[in-house]
Amino acid sequence: MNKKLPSSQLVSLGSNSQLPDLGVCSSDHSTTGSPDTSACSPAHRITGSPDPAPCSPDHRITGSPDRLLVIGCGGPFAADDNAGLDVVRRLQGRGDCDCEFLELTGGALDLVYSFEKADIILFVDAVQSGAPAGTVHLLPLPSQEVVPRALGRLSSHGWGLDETLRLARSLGKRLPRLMLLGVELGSVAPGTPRTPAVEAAVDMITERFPELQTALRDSGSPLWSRHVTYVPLEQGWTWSQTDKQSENSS
Amino acid sequence: MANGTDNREKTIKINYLTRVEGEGGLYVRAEGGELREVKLNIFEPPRFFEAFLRGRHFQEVPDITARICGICPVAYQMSAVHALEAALGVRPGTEIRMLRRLLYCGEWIESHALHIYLLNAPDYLGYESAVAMAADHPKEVERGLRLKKVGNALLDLLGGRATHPVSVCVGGFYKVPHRKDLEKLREDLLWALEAAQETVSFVSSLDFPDFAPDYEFVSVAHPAEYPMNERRIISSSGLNIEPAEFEHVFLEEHVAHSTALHSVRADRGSSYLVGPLARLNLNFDKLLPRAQAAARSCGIAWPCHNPFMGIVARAIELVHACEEALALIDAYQEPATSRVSFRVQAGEGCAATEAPRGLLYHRYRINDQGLVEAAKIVPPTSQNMRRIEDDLRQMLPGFLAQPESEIARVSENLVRCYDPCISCSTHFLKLRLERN
Repeated sequence: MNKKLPSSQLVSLGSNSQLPDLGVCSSDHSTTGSPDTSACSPAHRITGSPDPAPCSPDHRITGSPDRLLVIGCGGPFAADDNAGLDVVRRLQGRGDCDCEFLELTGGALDLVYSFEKADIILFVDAVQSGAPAGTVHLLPLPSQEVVPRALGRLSSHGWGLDETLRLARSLGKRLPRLMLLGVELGSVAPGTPRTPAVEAAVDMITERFPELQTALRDSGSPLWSRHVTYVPLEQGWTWSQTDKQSENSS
Repeated sequence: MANGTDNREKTIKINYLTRVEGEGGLYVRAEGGELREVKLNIFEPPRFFEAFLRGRHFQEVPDITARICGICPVAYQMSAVHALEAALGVRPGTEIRMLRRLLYCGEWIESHALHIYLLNAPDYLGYESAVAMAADHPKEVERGLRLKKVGNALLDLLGGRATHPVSVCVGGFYKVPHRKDLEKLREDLLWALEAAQETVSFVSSLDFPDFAPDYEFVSVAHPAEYPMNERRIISSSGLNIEPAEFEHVFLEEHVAHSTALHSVRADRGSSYLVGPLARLNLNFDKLLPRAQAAARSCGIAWPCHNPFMGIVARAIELVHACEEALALIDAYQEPATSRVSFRVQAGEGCAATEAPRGLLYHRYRINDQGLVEAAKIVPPTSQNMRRIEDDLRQMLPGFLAQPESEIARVSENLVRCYDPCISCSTHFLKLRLERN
């Protein structure tokens, strides 16, 4: 579709529309209507669900806010493949984000050096899952939903995020809490312009980043235990969520 | 599982590419105990970039070509600036020459360290991947990661940004480092030199398959230096040419099974090999002293024709790159200007420089406005594609009685030895969503 989608309208599923959707735990959960942009307090956690454990058992417990590093990944010449880089540049352009930024255009292995520098890392990258173009995914890592790149054993070019995370764990390195912000791609044909739906997704992310930033710093946020997707519609966005799959040790 | 009789048809198909469109990988077919077909399709040529560069100003070229390969951007920048300077008649001075070699040292260090420890060594230690190897050999893997980091630091300082050097331009650099900034890297490089020598000991002790095809090795050659940015092109068959003759001597052929172009000698139609093994075999006497000493004492006779021992050649080059980086830093004099000025004029020029993976050839034609009219880029991996297939054709008949998994394993091992630069034009993550 060629229409630019309104980026700031989120179609909620019955919850109080004043609450940012990033903070709502589930579709049938009552909300406080508070304008507070922080994520769910423990009282709002879904009953029966396991405590969302941080990805790293030894993340810092101090009075100061967790160090957040946002890493944009992508290739700059292949249409939607540069969505991650673009998000990082746009967020830097905001000038009011409380985090560090990094652009990654080369091998993912260099990420291993970033793990010591942050308590939370948000990777922003184009993804392919079969969802409609422009769908935004928030997925805690590691996750079985991320398919390792088959090329990874053959060439450093195929060495991707998944391999780097597994290597770090294999070496006993402390991993920060990791979140993937994925933008579903429409096209990666080199030299072609951005798919409008992907452009709208980048707009939406840029606009709503402060809420995401706050939610990420809350280890109790349902973001850490759910795969949330925001799907573009004609009139705005709708979102859905699924439980994070349990990680089998491999 | 297949333990076949001679009459069985065996097909091994390894899909490598994770892109949406197209399919690629390795295809091997045997029938009646004989090898029938070998097709390798893992490389996408930079045709898009050759077209994309047309109409661009020449000073944009280094920046754009650096994005052809996120893993080896310096190599693309070096071949680009040298070819453009040949077209424009520009001759940067000694200090800039040395800085460019220093930049290349950084890229060789980080690229070779990565390949040796994370891609190739697991093959010889019996691990499926570096992830598995890291649990049992954390010291080696950490050494590799730290070596890579030293290479990154050098690139970061000289090139502006480790993963995308921005400082290189036609005529020199936009910005050159202060001597005191380079000296901060000395300590890390001294460690790296020791670690590189440990790497030679480590890889020399590995067990390699016996395999020694009759290669034509091709590399850049310089009268006094181990080859990086200059000057001529030589081969083990007696070739000695100017870069301007490259496209007459080496032909790129279309092959039906691949989007890639396969490079062969134009006169004989034969394959050839570029990369560290070729460089080392052809330029052994130009290695710096400690690198040469490491090469002489590692237990391998040079010249060496075993592609599996490419890992040792890389380790020796790692020593050389660390040694040369230290020497360049010690000798560094800040140039009066970071780049030479010149008049823009129409012209055509080409150059070959030695990327970590081998000879990388660029040619550009620019008009009197300084806009690119034509561009030609021949990467090392595309030059090696035919040679890899020839190696497989030579090696696999001895493995056909083995299970398919073993044939696949040894094929992958061979391909990995070449450190192939697979197209990184797409990068996205693939998600497999399972919803209840």
